[in-house]
Amino acid sequence: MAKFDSAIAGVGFTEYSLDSGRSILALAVEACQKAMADAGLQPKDVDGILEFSLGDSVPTESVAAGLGLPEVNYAADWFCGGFAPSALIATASMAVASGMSKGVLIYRAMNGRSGFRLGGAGGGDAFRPRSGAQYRVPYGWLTFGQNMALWCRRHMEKYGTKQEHLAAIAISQRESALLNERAIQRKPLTLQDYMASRVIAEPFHLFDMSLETDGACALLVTSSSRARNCRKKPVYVKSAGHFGKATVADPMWADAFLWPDLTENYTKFLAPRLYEEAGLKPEDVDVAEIYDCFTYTVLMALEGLGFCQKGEGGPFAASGATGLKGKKPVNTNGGMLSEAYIHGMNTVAEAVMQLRGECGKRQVPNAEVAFVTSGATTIGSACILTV
Amino acid sequence: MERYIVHPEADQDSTPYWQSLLQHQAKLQKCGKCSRFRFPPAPSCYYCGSLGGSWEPISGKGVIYTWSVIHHPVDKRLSGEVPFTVAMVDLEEGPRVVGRLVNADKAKLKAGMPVKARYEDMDKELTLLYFEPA
Repeated sequence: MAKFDSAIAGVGFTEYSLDSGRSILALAVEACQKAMADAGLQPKDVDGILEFSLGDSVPTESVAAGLGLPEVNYAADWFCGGFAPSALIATASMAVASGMSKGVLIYRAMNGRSGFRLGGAGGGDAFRPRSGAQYRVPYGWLTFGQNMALWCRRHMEKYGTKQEHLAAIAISQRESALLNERAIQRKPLTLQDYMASRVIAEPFHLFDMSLETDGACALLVTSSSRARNCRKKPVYVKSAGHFGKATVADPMWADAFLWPDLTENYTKFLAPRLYEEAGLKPEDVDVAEIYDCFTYTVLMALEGLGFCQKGEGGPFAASGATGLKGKKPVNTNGGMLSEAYIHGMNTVAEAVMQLRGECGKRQVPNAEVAFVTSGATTIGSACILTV
Repeated sequence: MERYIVHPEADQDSTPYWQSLLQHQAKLQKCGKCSRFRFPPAPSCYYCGSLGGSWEPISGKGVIYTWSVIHHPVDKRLSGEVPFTVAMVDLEEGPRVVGRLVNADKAKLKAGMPVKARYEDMDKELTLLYFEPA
């Protein structure tokens, strides 16, 4: 059983926009400097740095130089997608627990709208029809959105999940985004708007899909004891972990040929372990910040995290349970559907700020336990954070 | 308009599969130890780890596992083809494969619907696996 003795002592982020007009390096350095300032730490207090990207960002060595870190004792650049944030928190926690590092910055920085668009089909190695992708690209199955649409259809067939259930997730998150000054999408969304929106890949309409964003977000992980001397209230990592099953490598995502049931994702397998390690239960979770590249990803996690029964994610969301005033507030910043798509890092940042009570009009009262997920399908990570 | 024809970057493990489609008789690897068919092609069995195996013809029969009707072409060469349907099909031999689904009324699609393979020649070097209602 994994035990953690670490905390997130700082978060930082740039403006989220459609066209930053700035270098990715500038975004990364700004987010990291803000995370350090949030924690009240100096470059001498940070000697670890981690990031992930799909070849669309800047390496840790450049950012460490940009920050003027006097020593780098722990660094890694992961080539992967959205399963990284919580897994990186876990490895950063290991680094501080072992004494390898005093403090570890984790960032995701991208010009995801004005530069390399993950959701597109534009050139580059990531889009080549090789390894697992050779079996889909020739058929015109090009994007991760199409992938998730296939997953979602199976849930609809097996459990009777409806378009209105998906809409409820998008609408609930938009309502929270209206109270978030950073959110890119701050226009009310009605069921009528949702239904009338463009169909991209059935069953997904435009509003089932996350945004494409320019921006950066950073976290600062340190030991619990150091965190207690930082500027802000420590947010403790009670448990964190990664789960994956065999999949065939695809340049862009973990494919599903070998995953037996597309109505459930990694959360089903990972959440019980994290609850046990944290000594907590689903009913103890005050706020859930769920990786939401698509509405359906949220639906699978509602079931996987034990907030409702298997197959009931749609009706659960449609009941209003996931709204700010519901019994299980989810994606209180609007999520990646409405705040910004920083590949699941802004998802973690929101959990930290909720637990510190910094969320103003969208603050969930007395939030003390947050469940955070990272990733969508067969591979993912997650963590339980507390104050 | 230019037709959307994208050749897979076949590797040593997958070339026999693509060659079998060109011959209009799909073949998949069958494990010599546990006798399970596997897809995607791989040097060892996903289920027991045994190396190798033989390439065996498959019936091309299966049932729809899931599907998506794609409306946004993403690649402009697909603009003339949308909406088109991509399906994941559970073959009667076991593996789940991907293909285009054609000649089907999209309002009547259901998981579990029986389908059969048809071979769509794209050019002299590429044949794709399509499915239609059985």
